[in-house]
Amino acid sequence: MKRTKKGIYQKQILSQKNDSLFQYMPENIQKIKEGLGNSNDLLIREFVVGKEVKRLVAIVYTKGLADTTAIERTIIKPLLFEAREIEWFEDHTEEEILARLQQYISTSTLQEITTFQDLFSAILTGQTVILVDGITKGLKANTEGWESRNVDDPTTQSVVRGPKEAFTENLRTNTVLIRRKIKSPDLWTEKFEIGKETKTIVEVMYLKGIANDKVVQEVRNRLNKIQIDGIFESGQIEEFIQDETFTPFPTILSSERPDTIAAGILEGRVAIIVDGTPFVLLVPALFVQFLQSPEDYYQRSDFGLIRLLRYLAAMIGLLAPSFYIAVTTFHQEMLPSTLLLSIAAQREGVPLPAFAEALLMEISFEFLREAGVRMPRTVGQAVSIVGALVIGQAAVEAGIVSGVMVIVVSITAIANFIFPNFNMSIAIRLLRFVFMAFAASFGIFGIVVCFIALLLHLCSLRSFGVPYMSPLGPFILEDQKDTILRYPIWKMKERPRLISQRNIRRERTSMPKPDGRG
Amino acid sequence: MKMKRVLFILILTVFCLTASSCWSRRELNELAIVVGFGIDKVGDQYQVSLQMVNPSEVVTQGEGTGRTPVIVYKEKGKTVFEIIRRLTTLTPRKAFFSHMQIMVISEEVAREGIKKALDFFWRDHEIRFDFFIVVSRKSKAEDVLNVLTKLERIPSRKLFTSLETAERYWAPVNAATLDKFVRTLLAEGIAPTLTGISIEGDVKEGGERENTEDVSREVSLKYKGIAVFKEDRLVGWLNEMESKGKNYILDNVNSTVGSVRCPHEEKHFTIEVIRAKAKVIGKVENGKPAIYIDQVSEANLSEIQCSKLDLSQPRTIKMIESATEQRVKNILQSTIYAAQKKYKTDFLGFGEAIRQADPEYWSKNKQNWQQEFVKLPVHINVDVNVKHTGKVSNSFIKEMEDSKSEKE
Repeated sequence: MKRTKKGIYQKQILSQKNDSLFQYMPENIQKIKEGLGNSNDLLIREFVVGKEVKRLVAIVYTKGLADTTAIERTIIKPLLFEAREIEWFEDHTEEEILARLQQYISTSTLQEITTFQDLFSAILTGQTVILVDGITKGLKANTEGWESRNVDDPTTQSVVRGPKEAFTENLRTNTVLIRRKIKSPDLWTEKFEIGKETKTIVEVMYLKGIANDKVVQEVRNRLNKIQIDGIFESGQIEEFIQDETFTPFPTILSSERPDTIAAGILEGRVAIIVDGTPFVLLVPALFVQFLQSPEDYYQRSDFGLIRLLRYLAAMIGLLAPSFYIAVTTFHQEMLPSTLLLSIAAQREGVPLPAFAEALLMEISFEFLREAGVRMPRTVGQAVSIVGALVIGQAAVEAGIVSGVMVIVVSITAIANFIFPNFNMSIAIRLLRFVFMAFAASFGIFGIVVCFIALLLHLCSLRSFGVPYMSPLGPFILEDQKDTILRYPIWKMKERPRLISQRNIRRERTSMPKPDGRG
Repeated sequence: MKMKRVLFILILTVFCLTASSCWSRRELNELAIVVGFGIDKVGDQYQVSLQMVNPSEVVTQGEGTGRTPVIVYKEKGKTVFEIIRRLTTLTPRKAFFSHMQIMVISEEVAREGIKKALDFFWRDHEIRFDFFIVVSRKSKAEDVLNVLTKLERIPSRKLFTSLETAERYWAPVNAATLDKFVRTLLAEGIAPTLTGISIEGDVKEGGERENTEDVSREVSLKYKGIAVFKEDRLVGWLNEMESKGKNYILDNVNSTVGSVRCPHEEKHFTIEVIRAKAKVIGKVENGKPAIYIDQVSEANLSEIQCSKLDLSQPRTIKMIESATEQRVKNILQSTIYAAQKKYKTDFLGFGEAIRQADPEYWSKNKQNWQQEFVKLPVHINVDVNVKHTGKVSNSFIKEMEDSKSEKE
């Protein structure tokens, strides 16, 4: 009952918001106050301006969203001191009145508004609205300036060598970070406003002439289709625009590193920057990208071999526990005799079957990990001590799990942390349990079947029309330069084939040779 | 539509997993890992002994409970598999054969023919072919499995590894795995051989735990001689020299050592063969078969007692080489004598060589190969190259002797 009443009330206000401004100032102010429910952070200041004919002028802004010192300097001060001498005449038209007023206000942009809708959206984004009594128009000045975090170290994707700056929650800061890396006039941005209530600004950034126009158009279309009351994080956008929902694999890359995003844009990808989150999206994203770290490009090219390590870790993170289950319950003949004996000796007296043992350990580790992320910082120590003792030592000593199992779980856990991108490690984490179930039922046969199914699934995925597994499947020879290995930079003369289908020439440097020897 | 398909696949998967419900799953701690298998004859029945591991006693960490690392179970019956299944009435767990290390056949069973006992092992899916087969010499297979060993806690494992090592560094043993043995049985013109094993010391004491606690306790297991078969029946034993010759001829020698008498005195030097290559070539000339053995080895002089040889002279090396060649030739001849005259069985694969050389002759004469074989002429050519003499050339023994004679 109450809810419906409130709903009706809100609808009324909403409909009124579209109305145009009133001529009579107190009416306007009344309406603004009502529209915002007399919110405490709304600030309205009225004063009289004019030499002979005096007019009531009001400025309206939201405390905290707008930069108060800037308002004082560029709006209030000129209006109070210099604009006192302003010459109004009774027969001035609205345009003339505003034009005279505009000459005193020294903010960088100043636009006319005519409706309450404009007015509300202006004051709620930190702009200042200037209203003059007697006319149905107002002005809005850009005075945005709110408290925001500084550009800081990346917390989720750190490198040893490479830029140490990360995106922040402020959209403008983020675009600046990218622009400072790519100073090309071809770096174009497009603005979208998503969220009926939150009015979150989403900007799409790409290199005109290198990015595939069809992909850009597709991004536009998909963003325009979103209808929701609010967006707080790029993850929500990601869910709306991804190609495939029912997959554990991320088909959109998110990064808080400007260098990753800038490099992606240079390759012809499209960046989607959402206001209010440091995580910027990059499309199209390929499977291999999630196993690449920006550092691969900053260190010597032989460092690129580390990528092989990541693929190995992916396999271990995915398969180690299931392989242990399969081998110890179905294929005991596969192990070397001495290894079998030492595993058998440790399993002696363990009451649980290998699958239950593995499940128990894996789930308790997942608990630990989740607790580690979510709990208050101050109690962090307690959890790690309890975890290490309970899961590691006590479980083995009590004979609930075998020592080998602890090793398997630890290796799996470490392998799972190696991904430069957290999304991928979630996918692997999830699938690990599926593999374990299959291993417990069918042994290695189950693992193989499951793996084939997984590969088929991966090959069926698309990210904005680009095959997810490319350049591995479909195999593209030219792109192998930067897939599993990274060739020396001067060898990577072309951009990835499927991403940027034209203008693929990237550089013309040839192999470095000392003078006089070549 | 998409949702439905995903749901369908999910349900299918769950059914798959639950319906099969860990089919033929065996937990590790439900298995009795069999490492040794012994077969004896009791009356007209077989007696099978299984040596099973007690895993918690084997692993080195933590103190054991003082029980033996292995347990031997035995049972009688007509066929091997029947006995194995009957053994479940004795053992708490199901026997698991994939990690079998060694199979001990008693001499009695071997003399009677072993093919009947082997079929199960050739047939069963759980069994791998990589265990060694040995013949227990003058004792029961059961007793061999009953001996506890030092150094390696699982006796069967000890048997396996010591045979493996011995084969690599000591010519007179012959490690035969099941598949190698059966393939030789099936092949024409060659008879199989197996290494013999014997118990040194008191059989009874061998099974006691104290046997592993005493530094130099007597009871131990030792490879001794090679059993020669005619088809699947044991016909006799080769001594050490004949065994060595057999492995030389069959090109089974990786590395071995042998002592040779010094040319002018009653002392010996030792030759370490580091590479040996032998070719057995059959030839049929004018309807008469003959065998040519070409044996080439590279060797190091690794020990020398002789005082009259001056190793700094290349001439001396030549002398040593020819003395060694003569020695190797004697070894080969003794083996050939054992094959042709003593046991009259072609374990050297001469028939195979003739068949390769002249298949037509072979198909005509394979019926009466036995008669042909015993009078087959064998020509031996031995070539030994001495490569190194170790860190020094002349022995300090020679220097001592020389300075002594100078004083006199």
